Amino acid sequence: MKALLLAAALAVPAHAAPTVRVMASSTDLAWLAREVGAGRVDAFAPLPGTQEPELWVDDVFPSWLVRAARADLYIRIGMSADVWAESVVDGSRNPRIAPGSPGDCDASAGAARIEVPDAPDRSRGEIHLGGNPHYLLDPVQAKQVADVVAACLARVDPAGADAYGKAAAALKARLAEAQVRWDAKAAPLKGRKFAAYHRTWSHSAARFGYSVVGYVEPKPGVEPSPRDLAALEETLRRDGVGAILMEPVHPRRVAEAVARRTGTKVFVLPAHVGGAPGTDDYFAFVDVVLDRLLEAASASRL
Amino acid sequence: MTPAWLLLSAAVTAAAAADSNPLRLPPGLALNPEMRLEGNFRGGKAWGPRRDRRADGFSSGRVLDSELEAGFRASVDPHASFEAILEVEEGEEAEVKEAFVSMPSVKGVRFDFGRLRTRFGEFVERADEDLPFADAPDHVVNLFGSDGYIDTGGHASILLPGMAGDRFTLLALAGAYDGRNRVAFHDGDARQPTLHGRLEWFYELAPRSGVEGGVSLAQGRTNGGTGGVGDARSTLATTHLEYEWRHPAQPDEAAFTAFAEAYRSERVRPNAGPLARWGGYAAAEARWHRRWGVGARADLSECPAYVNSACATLAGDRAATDRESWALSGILSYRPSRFLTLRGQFKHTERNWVRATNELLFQTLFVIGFERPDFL
Repeated sequence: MKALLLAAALAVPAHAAPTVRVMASSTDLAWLAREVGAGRVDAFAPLPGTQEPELWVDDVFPSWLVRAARADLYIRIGMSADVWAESVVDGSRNPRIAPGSPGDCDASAGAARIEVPDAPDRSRGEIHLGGNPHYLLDPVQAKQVADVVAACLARVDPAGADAYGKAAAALKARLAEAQVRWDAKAAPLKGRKFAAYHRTWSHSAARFGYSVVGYVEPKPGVEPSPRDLAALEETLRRDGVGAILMEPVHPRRVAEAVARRTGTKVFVLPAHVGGAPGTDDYFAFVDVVLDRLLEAASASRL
Repeated sequence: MTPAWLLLSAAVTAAAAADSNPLRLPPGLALNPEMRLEGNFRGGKAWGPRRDRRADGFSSGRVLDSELEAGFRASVDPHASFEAILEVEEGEEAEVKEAFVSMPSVKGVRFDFGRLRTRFGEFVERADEDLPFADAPDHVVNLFGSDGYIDTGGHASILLPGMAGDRFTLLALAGAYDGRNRVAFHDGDARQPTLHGRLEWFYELAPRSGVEGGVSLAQGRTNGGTGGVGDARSTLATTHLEYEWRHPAQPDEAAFTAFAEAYRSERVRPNAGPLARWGGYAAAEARWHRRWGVGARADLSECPAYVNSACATLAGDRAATDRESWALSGILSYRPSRFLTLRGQFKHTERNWVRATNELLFQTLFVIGFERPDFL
């Protein structure tokens, strides 16, 4: 018996790092958790990068609950973008990730707050009370969010705090280095005007100097009426806009109808890591987004 | 003014007095409960016998029948939360529909206790805004009333570890209640608990589609009609099956859901044989656009001839005259946003295979405030 116990003990590597099980509401946050996790983290996001977490509101699959039940940390997008995360955490029956516990992490604590509504009024559409939640489309904010994720990981795994801090610092250095390249690459975007389906690109536009002058959705989450589309088409013609930006999750038919009538083009851009082929890591994702924006800019008349 | 409205208006006044930006709530208000208002307005027109009376109390001849629910929820402490739902229905006193405390994670077990939905079967478990039809299925109304099975007591539920790579999940629930449902049980008079068990499984076929099934069993005492309180034993069982599919790339743009639920109720009275009844419904909804959905529902109900059953208490109609009914409905739903649903439903009902009623129902359903998560 003693020999068996000894053999079993020897079979486990003495220095194996403990695995911190992380669930995140988006593929971007799961990627950040893996990068900052210094090899100690197993991260999972329930939705693929082609989906938009803020649109996924009514169904939570039980398999998500099972993963959440085992999680040590749940990372939310925050800013009321992932209201379904409440169902996941509540249904998981896992006290480690319950609101207010160490495993409850709101990544938006590191994000800039823009487009914060003046009033919690749904006549303005499906607004986010905390502001525009697409903050990871701005790579500079990814650095701040990396710090938040590192702090959350340290809370649930204090023994790994140093490792997380170092990994976050290394990631931020890589992001800063890439930012120089991205800024140079995005230089032709400065001053460009686009239209978009949804208010997804505000953080990216603020970072790279372009602007979105009209939306297919007149208000967030609201379908356009013919009058709304006529107003959008007038804006596109007046401002010489040549491209409509949209994410894969939205239906293309309305945007394409507008494009046909105005001589513009529709460009589908990934909005999350994994949202298009070749975007499995954040660096490649930002590159693909910038590539598509540059293509869209070349279609613009101004 | 009823106490419910006083409470509601006080909360609304307090909210209005707050800074309009919720991120800068004054300290006193920050600890107030979150609020939610849910409106369910129905109108309709019926043709045929009994067109002015429905088992669920909704009067088809009226232009509008309105129901308003106010929900409040807040964390009590780090371990527990409280939720209350007050209901105001046209022509009736305001009532506390639900008021319960939840302890969502006590060593992996969730406890809910107070006055609450019992989770008996799929219909009871679902919120109004998640149901793709304007009225409750006939057999549910006949067995419990239009709100389904709400009772006072508590239940505990656990999520069992995933199998088949987490694609298969199983939820188990056990509860004990006061038997306050006056149709199915003894209206809380008999001081004998109603016991309830439920098993629900889900198999994920693909990342956006799956099959769900479940069985529930409830047993307690009821009034057998002989004048004694709780002199009969009532046993209810239900089973359901649901299939859900969503477009893998654009899940909001195309979806299909089909579900069916069957109920068996049995009452054993003193000095009499068991009295058993079957019933159920099958429904489906296809959404071909984020905003539009079309659905259908088939109802079948062997009308329970019990004292207090909705069938038996319809004025002028004793249970013996309505032994069974079936109905077919066609439903069109339009959702301008996820907070508002406009719905039309045509329903053809036949009782005892002879007497037919046709109804046209219209529904406006809206939600303001916090979004209530599904029970899982």
